[in-house]
Amino acid sequence: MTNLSEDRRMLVDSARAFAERHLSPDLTRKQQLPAGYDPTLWSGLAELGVPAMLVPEDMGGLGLTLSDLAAMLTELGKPLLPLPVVPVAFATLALVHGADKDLRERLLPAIAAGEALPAVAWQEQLAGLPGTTVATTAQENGDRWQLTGTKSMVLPAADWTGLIVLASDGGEQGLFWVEGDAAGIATEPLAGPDDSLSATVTFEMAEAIRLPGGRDVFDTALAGATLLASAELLGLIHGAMDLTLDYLGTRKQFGTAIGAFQALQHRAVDMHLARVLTGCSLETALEEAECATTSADRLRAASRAKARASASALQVTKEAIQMHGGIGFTDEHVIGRYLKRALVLQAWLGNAAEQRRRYAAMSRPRSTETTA
Amino acid sequence: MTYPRTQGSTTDWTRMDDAAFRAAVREFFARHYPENLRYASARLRLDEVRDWYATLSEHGWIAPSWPQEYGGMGLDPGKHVIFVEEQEAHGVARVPDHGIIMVGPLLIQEGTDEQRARYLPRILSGEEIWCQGYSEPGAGSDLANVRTAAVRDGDDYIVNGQKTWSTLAQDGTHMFMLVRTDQDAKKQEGISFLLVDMTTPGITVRPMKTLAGHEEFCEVFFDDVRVPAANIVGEVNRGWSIAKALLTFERLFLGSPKLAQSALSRLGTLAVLTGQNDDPVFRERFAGLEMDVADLNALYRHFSGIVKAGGKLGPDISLQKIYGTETFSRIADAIVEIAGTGAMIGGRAPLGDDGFDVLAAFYNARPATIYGGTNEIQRNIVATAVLDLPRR
Repeated sequence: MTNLSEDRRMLVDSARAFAERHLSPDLTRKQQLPAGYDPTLWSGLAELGVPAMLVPEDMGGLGLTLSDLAAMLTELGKPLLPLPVVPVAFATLALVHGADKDLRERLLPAIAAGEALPAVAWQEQLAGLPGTTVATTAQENGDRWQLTGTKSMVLPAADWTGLIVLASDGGEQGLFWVEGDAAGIATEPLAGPDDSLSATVTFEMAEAIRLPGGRDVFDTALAGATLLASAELLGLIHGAMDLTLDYLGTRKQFGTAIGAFQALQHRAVDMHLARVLTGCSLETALEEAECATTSADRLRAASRAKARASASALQVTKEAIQMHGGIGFTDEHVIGRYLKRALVLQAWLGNAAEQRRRYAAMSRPRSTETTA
Repeated sequence: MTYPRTQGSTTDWTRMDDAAFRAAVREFFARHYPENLRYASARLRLDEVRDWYATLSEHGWIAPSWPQEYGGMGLDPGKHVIFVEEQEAHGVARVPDHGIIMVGPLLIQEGTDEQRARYLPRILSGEEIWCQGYSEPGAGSDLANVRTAAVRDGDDYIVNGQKTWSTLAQDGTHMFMLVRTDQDAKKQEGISFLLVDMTTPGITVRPMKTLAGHEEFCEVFFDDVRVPAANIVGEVNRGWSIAKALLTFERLFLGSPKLAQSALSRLGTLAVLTGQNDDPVFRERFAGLEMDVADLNALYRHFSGIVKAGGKLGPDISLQKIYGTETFSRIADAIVEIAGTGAMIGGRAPLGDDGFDVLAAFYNARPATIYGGTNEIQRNIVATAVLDLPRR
């Protein structure tokens, strides 16, 4: 066994230990105002080094890979994870690839320590993936910029150190950094079905600095975040599946454990197949993205993994409710938390249909035979 | 014991690194495989592939997984997977390979010296072609229910009964079959492996036409067929456990992405030929299938990785068979759907330079979810042996 996979195993073990000690599906029941997460729990995760993983070593981070963080997220996702690990990683990737030296030196060590909380604000409409146009505008004002527009589904929902905003300068799209306490920012929290929070953020001539990286950096960061969200979904799938297998083995009707019925067995196998495929899809997509040389190739790999993970998570959690029967539809049983969390995670950064559309836009069936 | 081979007998493939081996295999197929037989849409008959069989045989390439001492290439499982991958990538058709894939390994592991000396060289040379006698009218998915009886009579067994779904048995000179040698034992016990010369009096072979119109498999009837007792392989009444072991490896190859991959490229071709290539609804559907095939490849890489690392495949290999064949079937459905009334044409529809057989993949998809254990049986296996769900 290589050192790399030995290191990976240690990371996974530490994540599992944290998950067993500190996380449970019931934790997601309490709405955490104002930012949507429990700061104490976040500090605990920071001690584990999670926000430091993608931060380079010379910036106080661990300098690890997407695949490493994905492996940890899969463990953390099993009992459900009410913490903004992926949103912060999304912003971290944008800063690592697209920020100037000053901003990197100011923010990255603080992110690694779990003290800074950056967010990416890119989405403007409720449906769809980032398109070719952006409505939020950036106007140059001396050596600064002023942003005007509205962004939706911003995660985490408040308490930001600052926001990385995708905006148009009239010609091209760029990334801008807005301090969290800047004037001209108004926010409105939105509650998710899983009691998570996101925010709608309105900028009115909010002061910003422009990052050297533009749309290309954003796409690379988006691809990374999409892969990590898929890894969290994979964990969720494991969690829901394991609870359901337990139930199939213990719940008795007609004098036998219901898991002995072939109709349920075959559907359980299809759930298991969805889980195994999600794992294999993610593993190869991470490799593709890490080896890719363009942001388009990274997004294409990410779309495949997220399409699989989103569809599998809905399939598995819906089947889990069905197999639990009436008790599965009650609020008090934990299996419902998995369905609700799956709804949020499958949608965020694009659901299966949206990923499929993006993938389609990047490839085209070609005739393999010589035809006119 | 000597085994005939004209070339290549001294090449030690195991010492070659994987990349060099892959290149050598690729080069071999490119140089020797007949261009007109690439990507055949149906299983080829013996007379179509006899020359290719001979070519493989002459170069010592006919039996990739057999040990070199028995005339094989002596490939480890990892290199064997590479061999098969290159074979599929080049569109190389299967030769009648039951002797190579099943009988050879069976005799090497379980056979007597006499059996090995008698049969192995003739498999390598192509002089004898083997067919399989497993399924019966009353023993399909429930294979352990075989009824064909072999009753001891002096130095012989007298065989009576019927086998079915014997692929290309009309081309076979010999059959390896499962027979019941103990009528009173429990189902799985009392089954033995028997080798039978197809020219023995009392054997009748009746080819059956498939839905696709090919005579791909046969019924074989046994009426007081006298077979030497020396033709039992392994211990009497212990044939079931041998047969089961042979089936596991088969599932990796039955679920290989090859079928789905080539159907997907056929779908792309048909879309271009029918002018639907730019239709956004089709494009999205195609992308979905393209991602399914990519994930199928990822699954295959997972399982073949276990084999390459020298590990043993577990019962979860059934997932590969399930997903490979069902993905293939969905793509075949898409071909029929976008062909519209093209599905009213049996054979080649007048599309493109060579015509386009709309129904070929659709027909091939039907047995794919049945053979090697139906996908329902595969799901039963995963449910109990992998997910540990209770049995009834």
